Amino acid sequence: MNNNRKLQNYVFYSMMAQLLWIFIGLAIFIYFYSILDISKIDNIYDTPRYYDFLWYNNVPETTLNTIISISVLSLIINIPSLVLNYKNFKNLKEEHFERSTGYYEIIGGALAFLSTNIPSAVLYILAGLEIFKVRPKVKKKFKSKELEKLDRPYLRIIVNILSFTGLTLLALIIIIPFYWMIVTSLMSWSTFQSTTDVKFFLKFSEMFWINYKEAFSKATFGLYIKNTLVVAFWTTFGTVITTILSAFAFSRLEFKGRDFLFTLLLMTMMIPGELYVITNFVTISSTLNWYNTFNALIFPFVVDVFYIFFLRQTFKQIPDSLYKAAKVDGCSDFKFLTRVMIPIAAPTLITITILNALGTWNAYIWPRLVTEKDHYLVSIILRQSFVDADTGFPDYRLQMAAASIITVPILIIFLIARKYIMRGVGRSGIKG
Amino acid sequence: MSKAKKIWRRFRERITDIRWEVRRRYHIFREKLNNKLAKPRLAIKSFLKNNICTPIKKYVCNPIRKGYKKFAQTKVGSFLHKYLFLPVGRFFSRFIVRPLKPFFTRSFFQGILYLLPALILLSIFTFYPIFNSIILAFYKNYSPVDKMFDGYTLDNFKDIIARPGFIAALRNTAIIVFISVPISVIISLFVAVMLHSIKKLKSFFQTIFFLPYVTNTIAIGLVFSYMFDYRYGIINKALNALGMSPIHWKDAQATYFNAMTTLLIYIIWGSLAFKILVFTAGLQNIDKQYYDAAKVDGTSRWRTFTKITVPLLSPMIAYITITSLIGSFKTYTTVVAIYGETGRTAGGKDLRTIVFYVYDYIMGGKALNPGELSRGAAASLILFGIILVFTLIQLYVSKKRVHY
Repeated sequence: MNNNRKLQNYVFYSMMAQLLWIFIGLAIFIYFYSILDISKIDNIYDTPRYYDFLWYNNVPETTLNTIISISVLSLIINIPSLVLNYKNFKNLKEEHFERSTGYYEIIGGALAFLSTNIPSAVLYILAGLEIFKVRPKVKKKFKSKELEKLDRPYLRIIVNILSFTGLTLLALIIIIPFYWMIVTSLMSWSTFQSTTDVKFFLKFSEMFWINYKEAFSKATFGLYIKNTLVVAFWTTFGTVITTILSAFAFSRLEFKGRDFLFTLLLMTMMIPGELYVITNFVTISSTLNWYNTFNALIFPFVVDVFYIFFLRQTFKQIPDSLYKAAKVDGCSDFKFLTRVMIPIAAPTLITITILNALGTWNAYIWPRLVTEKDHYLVSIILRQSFVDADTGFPDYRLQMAAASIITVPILIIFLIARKYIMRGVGRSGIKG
Repeated sequence: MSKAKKIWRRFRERITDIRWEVRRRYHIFREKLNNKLAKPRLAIKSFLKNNICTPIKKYVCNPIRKGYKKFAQTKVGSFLHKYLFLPVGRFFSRFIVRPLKPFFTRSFFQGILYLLPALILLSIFTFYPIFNSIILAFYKNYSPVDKMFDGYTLDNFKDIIARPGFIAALRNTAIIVFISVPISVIISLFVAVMLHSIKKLKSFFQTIFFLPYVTNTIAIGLVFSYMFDYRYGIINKALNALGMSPIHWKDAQATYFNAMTTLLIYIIWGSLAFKILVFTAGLQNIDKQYYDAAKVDGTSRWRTFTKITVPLLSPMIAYITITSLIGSFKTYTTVVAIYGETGRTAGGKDLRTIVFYVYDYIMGGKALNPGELSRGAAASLILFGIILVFTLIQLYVSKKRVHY
């Protein structure tokens, strides 16, 4: 118990240190980012820019770049590791941890050291060592000897090496576009233009964060992100409500024609969306007069048959005896739905929420058809801006900056809610 | 009395106790319900009964009934009653009232109430469009402003097929479908097997391989478009470093082959994620005994793969192949991301797919011209027909259950 108390203290104080670092990092990032001035940009000559702040005068931009880069690095490392640390802390309190947690703690310590957060790094490593003390090494599990004889170890090593190299290669192919997008978005004009030497890694002082500011102001990105968030919120809200109600009706209530209706809904899943688009365009633009409004973007996507199907499966797994017990105690159907079924099916609902919000964030075709420039969503504005009107040649740096503004939040959400997303997608099988 | 009988009797007693308890609780529950609901409902009911139903019965129904009875006692009346009114009445009760009766119950209305929001929206944006789009494709000179049209024709389909570029669009779609799907299925199958064989870092690799699925198609398309740029692109820079001459991938001087290759690389890159996820899930469900048996027999790894893994995964492979065939017939956003909304390279190489012809009629205020929407509907019907064939194949295959 004493050891565990010690462990909890280590982890708790390292969390506090991380929180402090995150606040400081955010403050530094916001302050220095706001100092950067896009009116000083001169693409053709790429002249060095100087800034005044606090009591310093004529500071070159490279210094600002270094400071901002370090603060971003510290944020990138500290925020996810704070989340992980919090999970660990909860597990430690309930004594649910193994020896492998110690390795994670030490790796986290090394990362924290990289992010200049030395106090929490030290605490991390101390916690890791403590875990090794509490959970000593255990001998390997029993394995049947006859099968082990048949294992050809040299072959297994070869296969392992082959598959690791294959997987690493593919992982590189998957990662490189993301990496190259972020690197390009931070390049200065001269670095970008030089064809002779390719810079695959940038120094901190060479990361020009001003590109992001320029991309934001050139495409008025704030407006479109706001648009997308509004649409995403209302579609998700509506989808969750209609999905819960209809999944409940399909799984618990018994009435004539229920199965017929359900098969009818499932049949519509096989029909391609392109068939709907034409009539829906007529309905939206001339019958309902919703052309260029948010309603046109929200209402057609408030019901999704797949989510109804998905939630119905979850509802069906809840035992029927619960329903009958609640009925005997005088609980109405609606109360049963809100008090019992929704809390039990919460993970599925989280999956539905995330997938739906992601769908709106990535939507391109329908918003393009029924709206004009002031109601566009992010993907459309990304496709249309940053292209030179005369030459038709795109400004790749700004394009990549805008692309990473759109991509990075999704990546963060994905890394946090990976379990939910992958489970939901594994069931669907619609997108090619 | 034997021991078994004693136990049986005790069990019976306990059961009856429980049954009585349940009944008692049920009665309490009913009383509670009645107390809650009785007053307002009864008030309305009695009001209706006293002021509407009884007078109608007294002054309308009863005189009619009496009159009909008198009428049926006459000669003509009895004949009509026997051969006309009675059979008609029976027909109505048997074929119209009786089948409709279960729909007028409380549970039915409750169910419909829960489904109502979904059903209203679905009928406006899903059920109605299916029929309307099919009819729309046959209208002549349909204008969406005043919704007028003059007659029906097949000209819309003729116009679509005769349009320059439509055959090219069919060809492009076929190339995309029949090259990208098999390649990505094979790659992802191998990757899934590799993922299955390792123990450490498994979830790390899985996470990375899933990244392309969640990201924005347009954003990453722009990244690919930049990577394949002639002057600034990383691919050409890499080729340069290897001592090869740079290639025109997608700019004005690009050949059709190069432009298509660029597109296919992006499509395959994006479509791997989902397949790897499904295949790894499928591999985890295969019973380990098969592999142990193969090991005992000293089977080689390749033979294990072809004789155990692939046959056991075959239902999943068939399912994935056909769903992704259907999905890639609808390729649109990937082309837009790299080549823009025109779907052409700067040198005029045409990379449009069938879906371009559906949206082409709606974009840019074109839809308001009479007759344009019908052509779009015709294009979407052609696409639907192609997809329907593959859906039917899928149904057939999943019924037959591909197996070893």
